[in-house]
Amino acid sequence: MLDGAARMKEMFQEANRLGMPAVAVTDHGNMHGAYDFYQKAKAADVTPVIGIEAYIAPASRFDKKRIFWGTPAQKRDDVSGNGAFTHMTMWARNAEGLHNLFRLNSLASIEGHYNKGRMDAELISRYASGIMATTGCPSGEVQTRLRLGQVQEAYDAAARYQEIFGKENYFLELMDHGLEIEKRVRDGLLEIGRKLDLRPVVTNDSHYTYAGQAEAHDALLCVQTGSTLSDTNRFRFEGSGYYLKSAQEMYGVDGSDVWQEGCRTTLLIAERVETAGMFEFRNLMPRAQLPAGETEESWFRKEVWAGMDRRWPAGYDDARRQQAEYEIDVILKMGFPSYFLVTADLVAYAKGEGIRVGPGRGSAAGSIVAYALGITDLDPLQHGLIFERFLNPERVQMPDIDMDFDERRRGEVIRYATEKYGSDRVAQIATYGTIKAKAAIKDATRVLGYPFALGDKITKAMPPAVMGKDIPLAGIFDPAHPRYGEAAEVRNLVDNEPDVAAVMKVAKGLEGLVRQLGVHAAGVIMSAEPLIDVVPLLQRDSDGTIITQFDYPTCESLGLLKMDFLGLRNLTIIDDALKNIEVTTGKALDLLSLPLDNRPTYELLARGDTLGVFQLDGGGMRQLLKLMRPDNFEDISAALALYRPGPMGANSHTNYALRKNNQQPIVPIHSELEQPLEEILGPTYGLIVYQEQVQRAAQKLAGYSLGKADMLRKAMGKKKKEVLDKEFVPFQQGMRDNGYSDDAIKTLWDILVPFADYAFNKAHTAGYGLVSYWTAYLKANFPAEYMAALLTSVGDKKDMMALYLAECRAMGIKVLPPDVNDSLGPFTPVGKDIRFGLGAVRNVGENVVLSVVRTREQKGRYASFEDFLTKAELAVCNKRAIESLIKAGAFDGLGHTRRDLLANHDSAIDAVVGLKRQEANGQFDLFGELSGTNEDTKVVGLDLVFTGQEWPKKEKLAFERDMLGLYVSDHPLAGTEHILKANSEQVVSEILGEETPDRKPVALAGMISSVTRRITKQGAPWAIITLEDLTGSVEVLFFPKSYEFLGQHLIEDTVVRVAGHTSVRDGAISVFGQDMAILDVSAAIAGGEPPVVLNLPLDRITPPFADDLARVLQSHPGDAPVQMRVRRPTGGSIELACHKFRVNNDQAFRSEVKALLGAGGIE
Amino acid sequence: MTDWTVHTAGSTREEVACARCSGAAYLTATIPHPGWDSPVGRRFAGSRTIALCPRCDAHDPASQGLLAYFAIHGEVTADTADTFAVLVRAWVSAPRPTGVDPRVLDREIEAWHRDPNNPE
Repeated sequence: MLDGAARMKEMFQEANRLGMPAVAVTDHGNMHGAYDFYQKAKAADVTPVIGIEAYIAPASRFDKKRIFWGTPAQKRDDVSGNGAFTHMTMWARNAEGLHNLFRLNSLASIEGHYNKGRMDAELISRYASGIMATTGCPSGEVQTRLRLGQVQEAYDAAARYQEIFGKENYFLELMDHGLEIEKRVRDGLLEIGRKLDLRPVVTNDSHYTYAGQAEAHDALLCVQTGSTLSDTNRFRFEGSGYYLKSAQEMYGVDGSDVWQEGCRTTLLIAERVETAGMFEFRNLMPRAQLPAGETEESWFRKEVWAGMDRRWPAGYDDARRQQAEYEIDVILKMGFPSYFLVTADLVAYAKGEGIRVGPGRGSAAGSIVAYALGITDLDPLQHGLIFERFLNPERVQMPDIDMDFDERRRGEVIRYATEKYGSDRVAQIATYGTIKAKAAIKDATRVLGYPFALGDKITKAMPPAVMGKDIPLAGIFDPAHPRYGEAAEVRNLVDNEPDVAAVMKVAKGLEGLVRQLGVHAAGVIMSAEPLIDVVPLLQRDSDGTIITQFDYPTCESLGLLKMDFLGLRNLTIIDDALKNIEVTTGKALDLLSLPLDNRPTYELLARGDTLGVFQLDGGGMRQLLKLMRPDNFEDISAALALYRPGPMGANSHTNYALRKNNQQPIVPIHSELEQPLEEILGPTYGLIVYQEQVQRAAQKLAGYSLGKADMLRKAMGKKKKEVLDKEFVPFQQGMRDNGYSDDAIKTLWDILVPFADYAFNKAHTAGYGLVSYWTAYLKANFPAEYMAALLTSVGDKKDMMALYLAECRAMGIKVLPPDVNDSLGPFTPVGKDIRFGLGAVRNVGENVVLSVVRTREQKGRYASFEDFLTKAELAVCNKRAIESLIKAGAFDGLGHTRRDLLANHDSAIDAVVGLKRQEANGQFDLFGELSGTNEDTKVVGLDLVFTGQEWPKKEKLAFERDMLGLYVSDHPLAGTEHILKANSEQVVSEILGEETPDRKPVALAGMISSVTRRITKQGAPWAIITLEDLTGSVEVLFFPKSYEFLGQHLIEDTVVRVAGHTSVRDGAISVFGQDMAILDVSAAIAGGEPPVVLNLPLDRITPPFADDLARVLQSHPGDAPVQMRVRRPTGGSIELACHKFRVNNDQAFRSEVKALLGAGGIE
Repeated sequence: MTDWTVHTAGSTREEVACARCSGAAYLTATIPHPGWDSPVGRRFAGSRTIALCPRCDAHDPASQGLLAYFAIHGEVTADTADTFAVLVRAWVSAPRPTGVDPRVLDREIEAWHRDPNNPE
């Protein structure tokens, strides 16, 4: 990756043009590209010679250390990779050889990794069958030894490998790119070749297809190494000719006999390659473990019927029996019983271990067999789901059941799968990140040495992404591309700016190349056979995870199956909430037996109070719910299906809501179809919401089987005219056979086609809708328990925590600060309130939290700070942790101010730590000796001084916020909610939501918590402020022109209203300030001091008087601002604010002022 | 009590800063903001702060009277307070825009996207 720049399709076209019957691939130490190479070669009618440039350990592959064969002075010529490996070229002669290369490459990674995955002679000798190999490039062992003057060793190495591979399978490799190192030991190499009768083979190190792509390749190397093209010290290819040369060019490199023979040998090698059986498909689905005497079929049937009895202990109806029988037959015919049994086993394991499992996602919820086996938890017949949407008997397809688990414990399920089904049969899956169009532009800009702004300018001129996909760079210049018309701006830049043209040229060479290897987030391959015999593997260095070298589509082509183990945070939240409920009520709630008609739940949904409810908590969704006023489960499912770009573009979401509430008439699609479609579309008020409805419509009206109907639905989604025209014919005939008019048929067809694309899989919305219902139920009925779980779940994400804390406030739930006597690690419900968890306090690690709780449980509640230090274990007596707990307010309940505790904690901890260390070492039990009882006593030497003074509110809250990430015990804006609400149109949390559009006008009210002033290059001031309200904080930018008007307002702690608009670029949200006003909240802020107003006659204001007044103000410092009302003798007054002084407006101050100004001198 | 409040440097020579140039201003004033309509139709008002700066306002007609005052007298004194009061009343009452022209803001935003350190 980031080394080879040849695009395969283009390369094989060139091979054809050059008349080459075969092309070989030998990537460095990996086989990621082998399958794709094979497929593209076959498509071009070129023989694929699949191989690898293997890394070979200089000694045993298990020796993970540098080994040099020569003297220190010869280091440059010695074992490459700084002593880690030499190279060898290998090719598969046949299918066995290919699989042996897979094994070698896999074991090199798993057993021999040191810098790179390395094999050794011992490993090669085990798996040499079917492989052809060479002496390698100049980094091969033979040439390395020769460079070091070790002629005998070179000969021995060649002889050894000739023995391993067989005489006819081992060749002498010659290369010539004009490099000195290729020629230096040529004579010695040829001599060895003569002695061992090694046939020469000539190779060319092609890294790209055409000679003209050298520049693009050079740029690729710069991307790899993070350098620029102008960097003289960067890694580059010396020499030339690293492209697909023609036979004539290769023969022309060197006229010697050996070179000419070497060229001919390439044809010999190609002719020996037999591709039959390479990459053949085999059913490698994992096999279930069966009880003795059972076959897959017999056991599958038994398990399904046992499951049906479990689900319906009182018996089930004929419809369900028939459905189960039908599904069993289909599953058996398709050869998938083992897959179902294995999946059921994994889910059963999880449930047995108390790991919460999602009720179902994707189309699998449409299967009654999946329900019976416990894989899903929805009755498909109850919800009107269709099995054929999941498994279509009329189409060859692999089943795909995704499983959701509590994200904390997902790893346990994967470990179970690995242990039970074999660690050699389970692996994670590779993904490839390719260089996309915009990234190619930015990479090209960088390697060419241009400023970032140029690349930014070009990418911003490109058309926006559609459905997450950018226009390809070639499409910008291709009039036939459907988006060509949108790219005029960037074409204009290319035409008029040479730098842009240069960037575009290089970028085109980079786009589409593979940048990096990733790992599929949820997918795991489970195989019936050891994976090493099927695909090449690699072991991830960081944690030893085994990963397939092929991505999932390739693995599927070979018959391997991916199982998706997804971690769902909401299952974690549900789990925690249920545990909280059990603690607070003593009741163990079983969600699966919850009726789906809980009134408080639907009332919550109808109010749109769904922040924190699964899938329903976005701002736009909440608006939809308020409009819809859901009152049954179908509404939840419909909301999930409709709140997506497609249906929203057709206003289906609002139409559903309006029709549900009789605010919009339900217009039938066609009068002929009104009655037949009533049972299908009636539940969704005449709207097509689900894919299953498209299937049912085709079944009922046109006589389709549900399987064929699913295929019709998929075809409709492709939107290709020729496909649609073809599909219309049987559809029309089917409906005609059922007596419908052509008008009705055409009308229905014209509606079904677009809606087939928008419609969603009901099985998925039903499964996920159930999780939404559960979370809404918990929030509505157990708010403190649920919100505590929600707060715990967000971990370090302070923005989310602020959002949910604000929601708690709105719900009337008080969030109590952390407390060493009452907090646990996570957030916990306390009656109707929630206690902050100690785990959320900065600098307080889990071991400290556990210790505080454990000590409290063992030794009783902490009576004082000294008592706390006395009882605490040594691990807790960490100054930083204690300081953080103090500032967070965790000791507030012990009767001292935070200021006093902070002043004392350093010396107090010093006093106890030494003693505790001795106690821990068993030197003595201080407390037992002193008291003679088991009661803890005050630690000797603690001399704490408590003044009773606390920090000013602002400072106290600032510390608290530092430790907790937000204000908890109070908020600087507490008491101002009504003022903020009245003066704003949004709250900060709404602005930061994912759905915020660009250029949305906003009016926010909050406090300026920070101001950063800047200067442009032209010297104009501008500023970035942080505006904070009760829901979060956002940056607001005031550019120079705005700053001119508004700069004076930008003072920290001022409460303001800001008007402006959003800018959303590349996912980042900013607010640009356009107007601002200061809000008067002085009376509303809790604890805020009103100003002291002094009345000053103008004619008394002289310098001596001013000095006297200043003295009085200085000698009574406090929190109250001072204003002076200067009265003119002729009447009227001017108010002047005095920033320099804040006073303590107590009796003493007022007396002194009155003495100076008279009785009316102070208000 | 008036709707607006003036903050001058005062006899203690406390600096009042001009946010535009960061230099010393003669005074700042907190004056009513014209206000706006809330989503529920009520009208609300806040306040704004303006500064009188000898450099930045040198060419502002509304500021000429006060600038001349300070150029002559240097500070507000008992003898000239009447004159000051008249001038400052006229100054705070002068019409002035409350926010930036959206088109100008758009240009600055584009400049910022080109160079985040230079929105101009």
